[in-house]
Amino acid sequence: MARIDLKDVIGGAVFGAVGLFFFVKALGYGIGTPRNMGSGFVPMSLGLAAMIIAVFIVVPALRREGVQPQIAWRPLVAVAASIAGFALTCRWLGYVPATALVVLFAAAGSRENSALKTIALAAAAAAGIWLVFGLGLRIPTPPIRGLS
Amino acid sequence: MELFTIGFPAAVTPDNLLYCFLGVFLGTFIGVLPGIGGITAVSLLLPISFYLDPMTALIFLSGIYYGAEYGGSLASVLLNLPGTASNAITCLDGYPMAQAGRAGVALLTTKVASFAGGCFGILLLIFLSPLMSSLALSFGAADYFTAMLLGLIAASTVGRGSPLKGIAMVVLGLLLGGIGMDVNTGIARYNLGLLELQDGLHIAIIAMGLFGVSELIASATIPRDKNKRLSVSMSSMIPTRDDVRRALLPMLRGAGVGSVFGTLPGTGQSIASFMSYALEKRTARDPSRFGQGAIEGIAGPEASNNAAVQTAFIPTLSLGIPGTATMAILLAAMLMQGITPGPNLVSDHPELFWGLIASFWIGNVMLLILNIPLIGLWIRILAIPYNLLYPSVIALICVGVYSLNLNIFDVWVLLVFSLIGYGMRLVGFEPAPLILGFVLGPLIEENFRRAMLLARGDFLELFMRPISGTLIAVSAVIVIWRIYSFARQRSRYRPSEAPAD
Repeated sequence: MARIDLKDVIGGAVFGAVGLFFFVKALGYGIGTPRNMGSGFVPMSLGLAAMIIAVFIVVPALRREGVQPQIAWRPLVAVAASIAGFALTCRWLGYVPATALVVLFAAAGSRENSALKTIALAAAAAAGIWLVFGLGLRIPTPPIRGLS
Repeated sequence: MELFTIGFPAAVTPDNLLYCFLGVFLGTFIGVLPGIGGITAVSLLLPISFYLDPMTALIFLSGIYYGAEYGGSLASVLLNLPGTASNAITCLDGYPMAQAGRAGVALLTTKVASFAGGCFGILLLIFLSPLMSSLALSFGAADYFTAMLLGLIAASTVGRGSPLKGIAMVVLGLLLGGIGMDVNTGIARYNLGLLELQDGLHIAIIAMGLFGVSELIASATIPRDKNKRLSVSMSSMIPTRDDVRRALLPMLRGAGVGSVFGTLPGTGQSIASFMSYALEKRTARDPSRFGQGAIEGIAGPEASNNAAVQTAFIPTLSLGIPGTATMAILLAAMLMQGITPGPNLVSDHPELFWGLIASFWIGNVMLLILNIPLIGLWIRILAIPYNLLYPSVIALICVGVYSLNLNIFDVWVLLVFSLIGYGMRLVGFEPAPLILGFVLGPLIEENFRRAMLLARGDFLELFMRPISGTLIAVSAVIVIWRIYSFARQRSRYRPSEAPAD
């Protein structure tokens, strides 16, 4: 319990900031008139609407109690690292080894995954992906770099 | 009727039959997995659909959609863990039935009720879509604009959460949809100087990040009950005469309820099944049986949510206005395949329209028949521990995203949206309205511009025209009503007693 509804305050504030960004950028694209709209007309209006809505979300939330959000750090970091790992290694190793890497990192997000289980799972997933994308769909990129 | 002259012949080609089967099979499979619902299933397999030609792709994706709906009910009955949100109602009476040893009958009821609901929905689809299409032919740009606006407002404000936050997410989706080249002027908007953003963001990546990955992260920490020894034999499925008698009317009522909520934009399977349950409880002679294994409590809601799933196609196909986020993704898939849903769909692509409807019927029959022997397989899948499952799904998502353009940039975008999606879940902002806004954004802007051009910049035109004026009025009424009722609901509970999101 906290004195303010942190969820809505943070969410609303971020939303308002995004709206501000779109609004400001839109001014640079040319507004035009309603009859002859420039590229920026609609984004500007939307950005403005976003900022107004954000105010209506944040202000009441400052005076209202709320449940604090709980972040599940372990799975979050594990999954984020796994996707980043895929992005970094996919070109260099090929998507099949990158898949194994994803599974290894992502599985670390759960306490129940032992090293042995994870390795077996990574191998199985890699094989499965190879079957579906390499042999089934035949996407035009080598599964393992070096293999044609 | 064209359904038989054009539809069925188009739907029973080997390719279409194969992908219809694959769709319902994979859909049921993914729906059975707890924590992964219909929209995630469709997003996951969206990249694969791009390799198929338009009609086959749509048959495939739709099969996944209603297959997942069915698969979710299996997990609800057997594990008390709904596969999709709309199956949560099935847990209420399905799980007690399973505990009383009547799992087989419960599962059969869900199958048959789903089939009945689906058929009813398809019938409505057959008759209402052409009707709505012809009505919409008289729509001008202003009318389309306000109709889409109404759809967005309905979809974002109806439901449990704060209507303001829902609208906020729609606006965010609209803004994100604006990223990319503006067709009217050729200016690249919001691409942050990056060439890759020139064409805007890809719906599949956003959907998989916001729904798929973020849902997987959030579900990873939910404790799972591991020691379930389940077995359901085929003979245990045979219902008693009493069961059949009790289940019949609820099925019909459920199909009706579901069809109403499926067609209306903003309401979908979840509300449909909830309403059906409430209706059955109210019309039952002995309401106290509900919650303890009343067969009416499954028959009604299951028929209802399948009817809603089928009728959700009515506004999507005949008007081009999706009522739910999943429909929005299907709409996006259609647009990417070069098909424009709307009043002209029936006349321009009759084989696609009628063939799709024929495939719905075929798919529902497949679900009914094939799932009887396959039930053992699904039960074995339910036993797969979640912690082994989600890393594989993440890997599938990564490769799926990469396969879209063979561009690593897309994977980074996936990461960004996964984090955004998780963040949104933490602060209680719904991702579904965002998808709707994203898909409809470019269309809404185009219609708005055209409307303003025709009206020579006069905003009042929107209110003056009969159709658009009515639609705006309805939108305004919905927004005001929802904000008012939400505010009242909130003030009724002290914050410390408020149910957690």
